[in-house]
Amino acid sequence: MTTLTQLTTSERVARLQTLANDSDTAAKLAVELIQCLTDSDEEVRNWANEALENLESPSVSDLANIAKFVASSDDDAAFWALKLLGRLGEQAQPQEACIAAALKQERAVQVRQNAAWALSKLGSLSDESQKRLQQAAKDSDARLAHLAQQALNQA
Amino acid sequence: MRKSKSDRYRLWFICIISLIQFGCDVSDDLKQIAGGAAPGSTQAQTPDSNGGTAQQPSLQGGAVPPVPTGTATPYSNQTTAQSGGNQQQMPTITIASYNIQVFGTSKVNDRWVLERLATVIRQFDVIAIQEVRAKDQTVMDRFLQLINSDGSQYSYIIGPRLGRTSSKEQYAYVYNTRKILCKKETAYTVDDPSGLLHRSPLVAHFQVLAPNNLPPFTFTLINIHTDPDEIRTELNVLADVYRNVRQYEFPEDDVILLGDLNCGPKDFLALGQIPGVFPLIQNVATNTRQSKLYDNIVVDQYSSQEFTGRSAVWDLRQYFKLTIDDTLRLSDHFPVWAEFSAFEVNPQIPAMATNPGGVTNPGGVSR
Repeated sequence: MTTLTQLTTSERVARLQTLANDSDTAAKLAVELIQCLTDSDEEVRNWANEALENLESPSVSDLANIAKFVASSDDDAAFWALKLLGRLGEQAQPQEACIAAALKQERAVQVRQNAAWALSKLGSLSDESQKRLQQAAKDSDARLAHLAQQALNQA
Repeated sequence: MRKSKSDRYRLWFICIISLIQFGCDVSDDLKQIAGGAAPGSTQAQTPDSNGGTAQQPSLQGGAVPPVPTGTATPYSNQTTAQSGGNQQQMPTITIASYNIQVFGTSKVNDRWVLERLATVIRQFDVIAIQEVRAKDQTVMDRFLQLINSDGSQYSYIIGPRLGRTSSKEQYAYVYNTRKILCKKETAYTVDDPSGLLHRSPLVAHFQVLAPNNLPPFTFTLINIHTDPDEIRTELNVLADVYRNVRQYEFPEDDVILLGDLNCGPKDFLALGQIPGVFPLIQNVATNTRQSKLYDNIVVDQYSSQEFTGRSAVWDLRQYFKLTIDDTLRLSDHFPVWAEFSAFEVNPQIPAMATNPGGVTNPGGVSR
């Protein structure tokens, strides 16, 4: 099967538009969709975002590959990787350390927010993750602080 | 109805600031009501009822809403008024909400798609749009150009780009200037300093340009697209937004929240618990695949007595006779709409402006 990156830009937009309306297939292509977020074409990025929004949960078999994007220097890729990990809930537990690492202050605030949100979906958390969340709960960004506190309450 | 400007600044839990980027030329904001087929007409499948030149105000001035599918059970029906013992049709307006999934350069450059979207817009007098998504800020101008290419006179307001990734969305209102006045400078985005909402709603106030003698229907719209991942938080916050906007807009009593809520009325949480809040779309799917109820028009049933009892989802697949794949080229949502009287019902306070005799006068409206 042709991967999204092998298509021309217009073909890619058309394919992503189809995937945005076919969440089952999109769920199986979550990694490719995240890759499209760094595409140079705005429409490709927009439709990749839409497909990611509409797919419910990615395949658990993609867990490790999705987690690799958490460390990406592209904030959108990291944002969506964390969102998808959070959607996997307790199944994303093996990637807890990776998610918690995204709480560090050097990361963009929306990435940190999604890290806190994803941690709130994992269930029980390690002491290290809770320590990072306690720091984040004191952050000046109200949304991050709220999400971090929420994660602590649910841990 | 609306309060004076001097009363407008208050602090609440969620305070509100003006953040609007203004759309196109508004010199035609005040126009006469164009004639149209009467509400309830069996000719409702005729697409365009708003085109042509402006005419003298007429009691037949209602746009023809599209084919209703799955009409919600209304709390009242006031489509008619008694006059000298004869039942006479009252003029009405239609208000709609439409999520045009990733409305950006691909769709604007696709003539097939854009022509059908323009046809949809022309069916309504005010349309709240979600998901305008493009850095190119000429997208709505190009869309409006096509909408008006048949002689229609629509204008629009667009909000700021919102979202937590670089793929940001804008809300817009498109409205028929022959029938509706919108003071664009009074529109605002709800300020949400705690970031509780992914995309803060765009609020705007409208007034029907009704013939003289009777006070025109005025109303405030709250345009929202919720984040499905945070639906519970957002619906509870939206309850605060609704209450706060209603307080802020007082004495305007017709505050209508509409948009893509990503859930049905059963899941409205705090929003659904506000006394009098009534979702006009119930028990019917609003997405193109006809599997989910996402979109709605929420009114206060005690104050919005202007609702005529007609509201529905417009099945574009059926209307345009399309395959499911081609319908999805337009959007993954169908528009939802509701019909309201062009006049205030039981008005207590004079409207902010009137349009006696349908005189064109854009005073006070700025670009």
